[in-house]
Amino acid sequence: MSADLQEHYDKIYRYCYFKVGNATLAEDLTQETFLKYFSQNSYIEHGKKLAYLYVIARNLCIDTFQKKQFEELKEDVATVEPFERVELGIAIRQVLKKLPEQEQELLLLRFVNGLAVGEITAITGLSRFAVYRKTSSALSTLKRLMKEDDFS
Amino acid sequence: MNNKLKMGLQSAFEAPIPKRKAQFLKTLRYPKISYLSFLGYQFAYIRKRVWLLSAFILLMGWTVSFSAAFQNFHMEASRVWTVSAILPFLTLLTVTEIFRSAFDCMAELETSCRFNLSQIVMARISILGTGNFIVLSLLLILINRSSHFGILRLTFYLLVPYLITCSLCLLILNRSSTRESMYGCAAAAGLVGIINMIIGSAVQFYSAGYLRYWILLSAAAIVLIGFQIHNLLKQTEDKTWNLLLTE
Repeated sequence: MSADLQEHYDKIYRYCYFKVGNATLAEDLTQETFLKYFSQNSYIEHGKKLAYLYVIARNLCIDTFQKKQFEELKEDVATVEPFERVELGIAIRQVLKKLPEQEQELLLLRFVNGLAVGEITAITGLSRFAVYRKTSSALSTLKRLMKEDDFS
Repeated sequence: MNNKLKMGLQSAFEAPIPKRKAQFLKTLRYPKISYLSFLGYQFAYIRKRVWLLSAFILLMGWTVSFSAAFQNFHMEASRVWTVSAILPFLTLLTVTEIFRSAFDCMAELETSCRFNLSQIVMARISILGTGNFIVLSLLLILINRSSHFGILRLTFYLLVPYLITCSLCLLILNRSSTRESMYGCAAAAGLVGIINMIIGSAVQFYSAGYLRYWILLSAAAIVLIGFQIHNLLKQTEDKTWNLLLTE
């Protein structure tokens, strides 16, 4: 099995989970995304159409689940990460809730899933300038809320 | 963005472990590229040095064929062995190129994962074999234009060192797929080149009476190559690097 495909599965799943807040539903949507993606017959090697994969996932999330229903935090959420990282993650998660959803989405796409700005514009429909501006604003707010000293 | 914040963000967006991922990906059917496109991708992965050496050999063939220095019979034999002595190195590059994925652990993960290792090896053999065939054909045409040997004899004079090196390299690489076996192949190529030079200095080997030995050697080398390629394809699924590509 392609390592590349596995990696994309994880990223799309993470994105869907962010959108719907439910692991089972996120996984259903992830799988639906891949099935739709490959049924188009326009799949091209080299991952050139990565943005298209996200667009499908995004639309599916919107269609299926308009409102987030976050699950209770389960044990399997905390993976084998070091305690410090988990603690930091929880702190940031609290702060992220105070940001607009679009900014959260931008942070996820840009810094967690590692997408290029061009790909983010294709997914969100924002201009490059808007992506830069909103990402930068989200980061500033995040740093301020997290007490900037911790990240300097 | 500093690493701490990035790490925190990654942790904040962490989702529960997906439970059905392996099963889904195992059964997922996705369109595969055509074999022609696949060959195109594999062509791009072949190192430039192979084509550069091919071009150099062709240039050498052209120079030797039309040089005024190679006019009498003795010089004509020298003309052939000068070209054929360098052919083992083309073989060396070709054969080691076929095995490169095994040693470099695939930069070509993306494409190779959609095909199994045997197909990749066959694709490379096809591309490199075609390239070598073109080089050898052009060399034959070039040397034949200024030689009295005739096309059949020239074919064997050029093919024998090429085929022997090819069979020896395949034999070595099939026995040991470690990076060190490259040195064994280089030694084999060098040895064939040297033997070829020694034979080249004894002009009688290029006389018509010896043609049967050249044919015999070619046939033996072709049989050995066929056997080694069969072994190689049989072994491919057992190669260590394949474990990195598959579940």
